[in-house]
Amino acid sequence: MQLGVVENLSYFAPEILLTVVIAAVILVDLTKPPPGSRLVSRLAATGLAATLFMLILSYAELELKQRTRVFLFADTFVVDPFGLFFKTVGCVCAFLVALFAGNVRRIEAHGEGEFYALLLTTTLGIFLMAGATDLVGLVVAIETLSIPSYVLAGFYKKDRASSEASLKYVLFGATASGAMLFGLSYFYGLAGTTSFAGIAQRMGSIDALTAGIMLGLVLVGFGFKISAAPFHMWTPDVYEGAPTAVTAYLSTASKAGGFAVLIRFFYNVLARPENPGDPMGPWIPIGDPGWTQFVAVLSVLTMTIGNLAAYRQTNVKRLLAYSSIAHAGYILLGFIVLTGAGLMAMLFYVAVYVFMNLGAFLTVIAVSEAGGGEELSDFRGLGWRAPFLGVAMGAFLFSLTGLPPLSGFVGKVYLFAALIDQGWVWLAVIAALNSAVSLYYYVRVVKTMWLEGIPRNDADVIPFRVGSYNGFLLAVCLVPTILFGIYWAPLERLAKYSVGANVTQPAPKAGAKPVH
Amino acid sequence: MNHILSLMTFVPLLGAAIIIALPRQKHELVKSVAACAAGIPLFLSYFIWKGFDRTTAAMQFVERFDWIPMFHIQYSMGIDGISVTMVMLTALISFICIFASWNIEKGVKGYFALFLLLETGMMGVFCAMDFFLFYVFWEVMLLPMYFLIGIWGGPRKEYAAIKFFMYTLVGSVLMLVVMLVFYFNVTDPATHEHTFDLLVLRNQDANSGSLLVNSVRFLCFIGLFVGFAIKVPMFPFHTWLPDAHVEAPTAISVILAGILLKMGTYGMFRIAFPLLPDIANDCAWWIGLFGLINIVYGALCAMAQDDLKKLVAYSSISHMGYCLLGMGAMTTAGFNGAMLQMFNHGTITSMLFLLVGVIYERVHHRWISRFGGLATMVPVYTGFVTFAFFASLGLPGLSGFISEAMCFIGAWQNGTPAYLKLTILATSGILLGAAFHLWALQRMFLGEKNKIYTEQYHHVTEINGREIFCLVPLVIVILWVGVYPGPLLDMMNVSLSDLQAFMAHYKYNH
Repeated sequence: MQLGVVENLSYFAPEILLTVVIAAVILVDLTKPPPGSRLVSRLAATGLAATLFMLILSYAELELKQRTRVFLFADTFVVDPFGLFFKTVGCVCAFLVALFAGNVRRIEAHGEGEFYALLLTTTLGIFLMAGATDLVGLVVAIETLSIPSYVLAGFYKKDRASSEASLKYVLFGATASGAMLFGLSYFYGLAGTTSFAGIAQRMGSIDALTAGIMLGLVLVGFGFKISAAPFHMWTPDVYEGAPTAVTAYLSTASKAGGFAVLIRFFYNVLARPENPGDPMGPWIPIGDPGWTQFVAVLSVLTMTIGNLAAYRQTNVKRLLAYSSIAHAGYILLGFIVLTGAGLMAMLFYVAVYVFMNLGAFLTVIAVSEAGGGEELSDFRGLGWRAPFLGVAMGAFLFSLTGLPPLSGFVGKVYLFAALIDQGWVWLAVIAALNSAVSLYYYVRVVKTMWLEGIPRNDADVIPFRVGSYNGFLLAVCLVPTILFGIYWAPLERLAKYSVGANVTQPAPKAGAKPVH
Repeated sequence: MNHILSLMTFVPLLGAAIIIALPRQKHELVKSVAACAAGIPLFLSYFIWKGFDRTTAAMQFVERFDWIPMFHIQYSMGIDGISVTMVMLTALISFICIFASWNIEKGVKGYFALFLLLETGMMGVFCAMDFFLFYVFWEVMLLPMYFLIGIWGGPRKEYAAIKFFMYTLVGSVLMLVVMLVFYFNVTDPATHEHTFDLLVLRNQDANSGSLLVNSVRFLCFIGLFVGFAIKVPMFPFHTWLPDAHVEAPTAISVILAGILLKMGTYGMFRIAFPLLPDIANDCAWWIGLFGLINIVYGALCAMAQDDLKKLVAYSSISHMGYCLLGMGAMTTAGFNGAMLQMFNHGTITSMLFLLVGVIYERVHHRWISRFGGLATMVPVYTGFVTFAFFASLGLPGLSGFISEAMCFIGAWQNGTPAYLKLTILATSGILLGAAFHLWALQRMFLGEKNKIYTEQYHHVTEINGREIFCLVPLVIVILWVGVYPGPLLDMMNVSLSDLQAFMAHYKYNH
């Protein structure tokens, strides 16, 4: 649907608002607000909350005008429920991370202005990624996310681990981007257009080998963003070295952005619904070079490597880093089945995953801010000293394991269900065993918190106070983690709506013939 | 009374929530709330006893509403003859265990909150009529169990807790996959939608043609069976049990042996058998064989133990073998025997673990060889132990005898030569069982006092009122079922006969 420039901009309002907030954050920081006033972090959080509100308005606008999608900027950007879903996820993550970081003294010492400006810019990158329907826009969006992320990872300038994280991230990121760009250039070269819809029409005529090489190269870039094996090598070091708030952000919002482009690209360019009116049904690949089998192998590798490597970790952040690799593997399961149900399962999983993972990282922040550390040994007996923190961390970790009645379980059920529905039972069995095995390392953290350092009696307990602010934030992550494990129909409906209403191509323009 | 099953399931959860809100220092208050929260299900189970229709195999006290409509998950609760005794057993044992835990000192709030959460999980497993709901309750039970063993357990508690957790979880994720396979291959004939409803899944005529590749059905059966066999625990998946039982605190050992093990056999009756009757018939002999191994191997291991608690733990393995033998027979008497054995083992072994706890609390060890001549010092305690041991070894007049005899009769009625051989060999279990029980009894209670470990006798005091209060209900039940098992058998018989007829139908028709 073509619209005028002014009307275009109203659909672009969340992105515009976010840009204004970025500018405002920089400007306010220039006025040197008094230390401890937290003016910048509050501004950033408020701005993100307002952006979230704008996103909801966008949903409402689509709904009211009964449009399934709106194309902007000469079909290079789309506003649709699918994109809005990932924007909302990214925005919620950024909002929570902004709130976490607001209480971290070390970030304030290193300059709040820079931190929030960069954080919001990455969020803008995710917004653009979620809507990009054009190769150029896609690359710009990915780099808008990546470049500030490199800086954020090295935000603690004098800290060796943080600097190492940043350097590693840049080097790996640059290589992955290079490979991806090279792959994308093939798409442009062979299709003669940068728009997803245009490429999709040419894909059928590209021979399988070339298509395979192109896809392989593109997958390097996307695989890097979602830290899928074998492009996961950077993850543990970066996640361990980066400030914990940044790690929390990278492992959730940034990963969600990666999945957004992955799904958008593959399901626009390389697959189409079997029945054009029914994106919830099965999809068929266009000019199939066998990428589903390839991604299936990647998924198995990713979850297995993530789970096995997490076993021996003694640093909680590093352990969670490997766990987030494993989770990328689980989410990929929904990607390979080529059904709307699989996509819905992915979206559902991403939504529940961000809360439980953010919660786990927030616990790490809360512990280190209250005088503890990030090593497993620093968590010894903490459950008894800070019961709420202990219970919340237990819930996050068991949810990551996939135990009912927590949301992670439901997410896994949907993924497994999508697999089994399409006959990938062997893959479901591998994934199920993987999640059983993952219990062992998650439970190690719980064990350290609750089964070690047990006080002899209640009088011996030395309270460990994390403060009401962090406690409140923990509760904010805990409520959806439990709630979506008990009653998840609304989230399911949202995920279904996000998939059902779109991931489809714009109507072919007059004159263009579909080639399959 | 329309929501009696939901009340029985969720009142303990409510109790747990109240306990969490109570102040940490008020130990007595916490315990009283726990006792009330566990007492209400026991009180309600009286109405089940009264109101249960013994003439039908249909589900009773049914509650049903849509939980997640898009995925066709229902909150559907109900009981029939297979679950009713287990529901009552759960209510009884949980209530007793609150009192058996009365002298917990550390983390009182956490202990009782987790305990009640555990009761919710157990109750839910026995009441759930929807496979998804069943699975959720099945898993919900794991978390409190892990912490109850891991925090309040013995010296090797961490190892025991994680071993229990890992074993069960591996079994249950296989079950999850099978559950989803069923979901996608079965449609409810009434609604033409996929379903998790166990009663619809059981309706083979509606399923036929969908899931009937025999190799797939076989793998599904193995998946389910292994998941349940781990819980039973069936040889060779039994190794978590001695660890978990020995390290767990007394009340938790009681719950483990008294109720959790029954979930394995219950799951077979409720899910593995009815959903895949043809494969279950094909595997019947193997089930009986594993039953035989359990009986003999468990008894031999028990005989070799010097730790009294480990002896009781292995005796559980042996006794659960009778259930498997009865189930594998695929006869009405065998099914009834297995079901009754589940109930009786629940009461007898609970008594045994409580009694082990009594002596351990006083002398802080459980080595049989360090005791001797206890009978002269603590005659009442000795009386209880003797009673429990005799019940356990199957003395006529006590409940263990009835169910073991029925298992054997049922196994014999199976009639195939291969199964008869199993049955004959399994009778050796009775002898071995008597041997290790009597030998332990002799070494601990009879004869001279131990000459080397004399210090311990200063701490040996007679069993106290609270402990007797825990034991007496069990004594009554054991005697009553031993003398007059009719009322209990009446409750289960119709459903089990129905199941047996159903199984027999698929024996010849596939």
